Amino acid sequence: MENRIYILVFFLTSLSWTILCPNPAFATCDYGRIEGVHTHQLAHIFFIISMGILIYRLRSKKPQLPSGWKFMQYSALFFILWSLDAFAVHFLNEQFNIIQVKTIGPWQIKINDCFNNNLLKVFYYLARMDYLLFMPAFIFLYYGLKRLLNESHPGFSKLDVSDPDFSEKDRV
Amino acid sequence: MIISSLPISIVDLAGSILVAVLSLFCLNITRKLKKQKPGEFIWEYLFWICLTLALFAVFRSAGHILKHILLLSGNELISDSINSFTGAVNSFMLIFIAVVTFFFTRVWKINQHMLKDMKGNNSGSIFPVDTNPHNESSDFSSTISYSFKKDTEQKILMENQMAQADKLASMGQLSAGIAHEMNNPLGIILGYTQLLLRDEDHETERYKDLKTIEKHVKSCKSIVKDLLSFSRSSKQEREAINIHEAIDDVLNFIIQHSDLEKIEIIREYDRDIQPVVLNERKIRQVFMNLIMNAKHAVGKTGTIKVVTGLDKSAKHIYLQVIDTGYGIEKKNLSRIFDPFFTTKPSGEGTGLGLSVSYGIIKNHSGEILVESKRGKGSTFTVVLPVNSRRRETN
Repeated sequence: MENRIYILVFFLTSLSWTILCPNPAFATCDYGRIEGVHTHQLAHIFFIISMGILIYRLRSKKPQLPSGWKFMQYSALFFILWSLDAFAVHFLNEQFNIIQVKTIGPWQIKINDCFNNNLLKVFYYLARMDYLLFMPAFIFLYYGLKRLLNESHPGFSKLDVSDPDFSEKDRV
Repeated sequence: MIISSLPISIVDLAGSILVAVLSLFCLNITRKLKKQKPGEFIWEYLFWICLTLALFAVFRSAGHILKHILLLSGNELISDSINSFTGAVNSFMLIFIAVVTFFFTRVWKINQHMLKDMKGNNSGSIFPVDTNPHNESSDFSSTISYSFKKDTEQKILMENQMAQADKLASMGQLSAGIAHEMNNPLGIILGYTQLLLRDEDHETERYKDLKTIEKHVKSCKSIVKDLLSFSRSSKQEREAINIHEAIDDVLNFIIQHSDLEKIEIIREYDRDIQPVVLNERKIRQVFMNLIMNAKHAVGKTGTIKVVTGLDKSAKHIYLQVIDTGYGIEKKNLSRIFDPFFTTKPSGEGTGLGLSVSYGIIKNHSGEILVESKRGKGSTFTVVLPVNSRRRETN
């Protein structure tokens, strides 16, 4: 019985001390700000692979698919190009600081790079206009969907099992 | 390198607005597609993709526009904190789109296998199920649900067929027993009635009574004969016959003896069909039953189409009687081959026509199939093997 009281007192004292005088626990790791950039870059890679697989699947069924899917393929291709472009910009600027950009006026920027290579600077400058790839992707997506909408009228679908009058075949 | 940021800003701002608007249009189209065919996997996929892309585009665009505004107004710190947030959301959206796309492509692949299996199963069928590749994409989820539904339906159908076959076999045995027992007494009644009629004056009341007895006994004998046909206990002699000539004879007979003026009769014969070894009398009886049923279903105006053909392997011939009548109700479909089952008014049909036809076709190692759409008509298909044994006796 006495032992139990000692254990209880020890437990309560420890608990009170832990609550009243806490120390840092270091239970979680702090990865720093760059972790977000790496995650974003991995998301881009994942996105590129998924779009690549989608194109591959669509191409393997090419002769049988409605034409709307052709535009979906183009859309996926432009999404890949845009993603590569965005990946490159993040890679040069945020991930490895190869390029540094400084705003020096309302409509002027200064581009520096580690290798002092003008070609790289021009590439970065052009790559920053990623909407030139992102927009066509959406335009193709829009046309593709529009076609699919036109092609999906009832005449295109012969087999509709939800139809209550679906032909009943009785084999005797 | 000092360079103007104006092109970047213009492309960024204009692109942001356009992309945000386009993404919302895309979302609206997928919403319409979803509405048009609710529950379809492919539209569900496109809807979720477009929803995520729209969120992505709107967030990205809003982030970019806000960034420009904040930079111009000198609030770089706020711009940085917003950038981190939109960046995180964008990463999440990209991963989400990729996951949904992976899932979709995986399901697509599974669907291909299922379609392949379906086609494989149908390859030996005389009347293959429609597997139009166009449906493959537009009715993507339908195909999947169709496969499952088809499997279940086929299982149920097979069980029903076995039950039906059992029932008809039992009825056949019972009918054979009854018919055999009744045939002799009926023959005796008919014989004695005719003996009595011979000595009777035609004008007497007694003569009329005997005539009534004779008429009804003959009617009973006809039913017994049908029952014997159904139970396959009658002898059958077979020889090579031209099936088209048999059909034409039956059709001509019906045209001459029935009012078919407003009924269009279409004949579509496959002239490649060679003479087939069959019991001509019995087969004519089947054609007669099917065509008379079609005539009854069509009513006064409509179309009866008689089609013949060979299946792909050339091992079976088929004959179809297609009518544009009122069709068969679903609840009656499993009963139409039952003896004495009829939808005709009392006194107009014995309900033995299809049962007898069933017995005859089964005796020829064939099949009768029926397809019916309520209000649109029925199709009766008789499938017969080409290489029946000559002069087979049961």
